Amino acid sequence: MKTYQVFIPMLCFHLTANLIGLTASNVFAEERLCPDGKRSYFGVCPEEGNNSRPLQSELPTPAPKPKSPSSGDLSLKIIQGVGLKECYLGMDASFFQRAFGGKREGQYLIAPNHGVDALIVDGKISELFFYFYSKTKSSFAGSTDRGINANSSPLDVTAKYGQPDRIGQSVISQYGAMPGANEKSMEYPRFGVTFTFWDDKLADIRIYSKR
Amino acid sequence: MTHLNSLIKRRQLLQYGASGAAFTSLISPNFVRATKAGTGLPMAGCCLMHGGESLVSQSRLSRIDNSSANVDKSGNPRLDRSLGYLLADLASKFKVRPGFGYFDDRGSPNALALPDSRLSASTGTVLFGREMMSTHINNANGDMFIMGICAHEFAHIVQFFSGYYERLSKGQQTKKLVELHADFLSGYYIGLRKINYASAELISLGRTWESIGDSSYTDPQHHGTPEERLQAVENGYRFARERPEFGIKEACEVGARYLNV
Repeated sequence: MKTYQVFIPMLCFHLTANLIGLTASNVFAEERLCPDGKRSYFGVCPEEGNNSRPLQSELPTPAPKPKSPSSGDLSLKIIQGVGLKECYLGMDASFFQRAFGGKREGQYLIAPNHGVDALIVDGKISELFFYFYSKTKSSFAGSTDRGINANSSPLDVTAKYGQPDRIGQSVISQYGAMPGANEKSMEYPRFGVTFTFWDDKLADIRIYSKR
Repeated sequence: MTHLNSLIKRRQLLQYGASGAAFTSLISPNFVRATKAGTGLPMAGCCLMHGGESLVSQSRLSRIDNSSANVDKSGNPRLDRSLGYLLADLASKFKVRPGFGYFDDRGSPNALALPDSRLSASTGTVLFGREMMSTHINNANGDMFIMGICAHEFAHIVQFFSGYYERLSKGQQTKKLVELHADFLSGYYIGLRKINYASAELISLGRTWESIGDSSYTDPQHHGTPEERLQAVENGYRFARERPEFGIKEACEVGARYLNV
């Protein structure tokens, strides 16, 4: 039997069939490690793999229609080194404005009602700031893809992201945003994220390109 | 195999028939043949030839021409038809139209992307090694890998004609960024297809992709470590699944940003 004969039906399935398998949401596990410590592949842990090929083929289902970003339809999952699905690093500044509104303040676009700011460089989103503990801004309603949110502690961050590449500690001066608070910055340039705590309360998350 | 054949519905076969026509127009009218040269191609991944750079010896290159016109396809009509569908779709999604052909890669399985156009009205050339093809079609879920490699080579064609090749190569000692960018676009294409892949297929693809990484950090043809290559293809896949409305132009830019270029 020619070797190609094995390949043909298999390739054909991919080319036209709608295979029954994981949904996209199953596939997009952000963690690369599985519970047993092994690496996942495309978000799928090896032990979850089903070696049986679907026994039924149908025409492909239509792809979901693309959505325009709007403030009422935002993913609130912060991805390190990326940002949000609808508003991530490298995008035109207009995407931020479409998602959050906001106003220009120097190099920044600020949206205090959403608890998020963006640093704009050459018209593109260069960095994103998500605020959780501020006297002047609303708290950002989301969390990181690894589950860090307004209630998380520095220990939670270490548990989810490992030891930081750098830790900064200081006391905020009387002119700062939270005078007298102990500030602790946990920096992960390898991931493109920095967490800042004030008195062990998450103050903000900064997202930038991995370095 | 009979069992698998029986699962292909008539309407799908008709669809393949239509795609076969697209393949015929893409594939080189002449069989592209290369000799097994003394200087071997990498065992996996692809060999880029751009701006006079080449891993392929001149003797091998000299045989990749249009002069040996005896076979123009794989020799298996059904394979050609299926592959034709894939290539037509790749050409559409990546907005390039390279010529496509096979070459003799005995002993060093590989696929190639060249900026040279060997067919009129084509942009660049993609060559797939026969050994590479036959090796992977025998593997479980090897078709996924072949799809990924085809997309990877098409991605190089995109790079050649969009300025990304120069951008990704600038100041680099190795081809790593070029290759990882192509991996990202390959994952983007796989993710773009309206298919719900089975777990086993994704795991198999991931493991195979991981296996083609290398640790020759100083080799000019270093393609990236296993983890880097896997991450690149995974991130491209994720981008396509999360942002299907974005086209190849945006994917190229996001891929470059992903590599901090």
